[in-house]
Amino acid sequence: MKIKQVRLKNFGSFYGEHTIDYTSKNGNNGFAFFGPEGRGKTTLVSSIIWCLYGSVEASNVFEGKYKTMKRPVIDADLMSSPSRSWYPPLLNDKAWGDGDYSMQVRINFEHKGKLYSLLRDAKKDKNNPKKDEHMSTKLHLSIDGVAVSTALVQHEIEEVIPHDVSKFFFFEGDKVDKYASLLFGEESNIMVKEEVERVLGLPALDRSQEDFTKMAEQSAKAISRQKRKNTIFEKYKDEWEIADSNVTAALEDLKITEENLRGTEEKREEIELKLSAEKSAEDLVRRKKEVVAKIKSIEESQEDAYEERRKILSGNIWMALIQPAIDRVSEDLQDLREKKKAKEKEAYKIEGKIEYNKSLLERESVECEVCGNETGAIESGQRESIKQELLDLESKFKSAMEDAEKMGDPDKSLDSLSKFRNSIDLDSLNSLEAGLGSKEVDRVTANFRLKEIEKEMQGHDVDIVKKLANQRKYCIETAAVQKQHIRNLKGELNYWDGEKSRIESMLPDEKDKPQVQQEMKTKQTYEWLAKCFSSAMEEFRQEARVSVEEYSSKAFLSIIEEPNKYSGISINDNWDIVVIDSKGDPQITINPGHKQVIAISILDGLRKTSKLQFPTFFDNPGANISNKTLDRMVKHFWEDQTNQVVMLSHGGGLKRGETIRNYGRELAKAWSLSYDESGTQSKIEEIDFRDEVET
Amino acid sequence: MKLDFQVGTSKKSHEIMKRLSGKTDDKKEPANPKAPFKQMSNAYLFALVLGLSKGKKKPIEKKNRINVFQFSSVEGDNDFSILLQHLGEPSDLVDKDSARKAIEEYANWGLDSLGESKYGDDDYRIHKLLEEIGLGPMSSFVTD
Repeated sequence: MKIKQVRLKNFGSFYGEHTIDYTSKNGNNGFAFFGPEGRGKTTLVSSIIWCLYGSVEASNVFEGKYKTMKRPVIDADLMSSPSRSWYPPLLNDKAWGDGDYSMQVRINFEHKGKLYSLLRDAKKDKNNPKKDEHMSTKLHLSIDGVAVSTALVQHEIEEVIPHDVSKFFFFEGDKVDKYASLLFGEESNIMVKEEVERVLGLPALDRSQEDFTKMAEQSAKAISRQKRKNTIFEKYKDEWEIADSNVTAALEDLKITEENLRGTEEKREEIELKLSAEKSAEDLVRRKKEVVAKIKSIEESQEDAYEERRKILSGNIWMALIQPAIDRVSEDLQDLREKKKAKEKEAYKIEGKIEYNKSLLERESVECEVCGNETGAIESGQRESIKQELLDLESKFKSAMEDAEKMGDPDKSLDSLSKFRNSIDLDSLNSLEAGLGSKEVDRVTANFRLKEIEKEMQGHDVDIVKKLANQRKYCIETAAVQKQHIRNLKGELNYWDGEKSRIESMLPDEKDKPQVQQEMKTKQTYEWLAKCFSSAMEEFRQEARVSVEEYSSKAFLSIIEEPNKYSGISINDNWDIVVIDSKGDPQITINPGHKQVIAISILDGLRKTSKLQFPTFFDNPGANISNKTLDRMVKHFWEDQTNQVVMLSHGGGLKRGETIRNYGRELAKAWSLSYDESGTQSKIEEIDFRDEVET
Repeated sequence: MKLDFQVGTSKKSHEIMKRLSGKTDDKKEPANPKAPFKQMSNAYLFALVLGLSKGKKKPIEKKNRINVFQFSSVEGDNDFSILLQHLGEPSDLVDKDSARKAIEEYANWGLDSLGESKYGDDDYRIHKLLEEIGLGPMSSFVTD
């Protein structure tokens, strides 16, 4: 497919009619749009998507989940809202203000040698329309000038490019970023597998496989019917019929419950979408809940700590305060005890001397039996001296004893004080009060945060969010009950099916009957077909995986800086994506720029694997990609001249002057996007770049 | 000596004691959940030991003195005459009257200090006070 011309009327920021002519005079397939943010680059891409498929989705990532929302054609509430929604209406706001409710996009394109002219036209269905229900949209297609029946138009478009696959040709900066973040999330392998299957149309084939399995089951039922025609069956008929009616009842119940579950899940999805639109308010409610819970928990732990402190301070911690004094006094008492002992010792010594002196004084003279001389008695002079000494000693003894007496009873005092000795310390009090301090800081901080959140909440309709959150909770609970009921019903179904099989196993085989033989053959054929489909699809998946891997690796090496460091991208059987270095070892990808390059490479791999010929649009790709990588990426895509490649740049990485100078030779046409004189509406002007191209 | 007498404190210290044990004048008003002591007597005992450990007294004017407890209910199983004898001044245990006066003055100083340990409107930081007066964990390194 090659786009020849696009014509817009009142679409997005484009007020009135605008025409973009994609015909190439030099045979090149590279196109470029340059314009700052908000001048309508994304709108140009959206207009093509809307014209082809009748809806444009906006997407955003909430809590790691990729949410999409259909952009309405008209929505009076959103249009009159002061804050811009992330899924704004498609109708131009100035036209809406003027009361002009018509919006059109026409694409003239060439596909497989035929000229297609596709027009999607939205008009008001009633006066003063406010919602899409008040608008009607018509679709016109002519191929080589022959009008296609309205009923077949969408089918014809799907033939050119299926809606599911079209997204691989629209590389939007934001989407690439989100795709990159999802690609390295927990469920990346499932996502890539689904994308590949979508490219190959495998879901439809899966349904065929299911159909064959169902046909085989019907043949089995026919065989069973034949068996039951046997007269022996009469014996088991009642029993079989009870089992069969239970199977039928369980199946019906299962069908209803599964439908109800689908309804619940759809409703939940709807609520999730509404909540995602109210994301910030929901986030505030959640944050408030968390902060309130945190404050409660801090206050509870504070209460516990205060109670613990009361327990400590009202116990015998006071003993810790007197321990140093008791130590000091005990030391003094021990000294005193030693001194007292010394004094007592001194007194006893004196006492000994007193006793000795006394004995001297009492000693009498003894007459010698031989010579008759008297010996041993103390002379009178000496006696006087001893008496004097005795008096001194007795005085000293009295004084020493009095001194010792004055020293009291240190042992008794030490013993009394020992009752107040305690190993209790103040550490528990210190750490508890230090903890109280930090808890208080936490509480004050959390209260401050709560006030900030409450202030922020004043600008939101929190009640609606709370109501939605409650509805979501109800849906989750209902779905859980329904899922449990489904599990129970399946168990029941299994049991009654088993009962039927058990009864049927007691009936003769009836293999010789021609009807049975025919049904058995049919059954085998369907089973064989289901098996063949299954293995063929598996093979198909593997081939597709290899193809995506090859194309993605090629794109990756062509885009990434220093390609000699890598050997490519590997996608294993579990659909895990890993970058392989030049030594053949897997690399962990952390750099967001690398992640984006990988995402772009995978998208290119999927695009090429689909083998569809369709223009590729790059709307501000690679917010985290370096200018050099961006340059390599532009080269990679623009050098592929088989399909139209349209780059839309806000002039950040891909600057107008440089791009035209460097790639002007690959370019067919370039345009600049700006505001018109009103300063709010977009304007397109073709750039004559012939003089700017480097030769 | 048996310390079987009534002890009192100053009106100001009585107020501090009430706050320390979370009591309010209005009985309908809930007790302060941040109060550091369970009972007024716990606060009194702690304050007494505080004053005695530091050897600090604060006299009480007769006109401001109010009876608060029977001392035996404060000391419980502990014989505080031993502590007064060894940690107090010699004059503290001359007779019962001097013992009562000493106890009241030590406790009065202690309650005054505890009142100073106020942290915010209704909270106290006792360990800070102990550190400041040299009875904290590092008290062995602090000298008067």
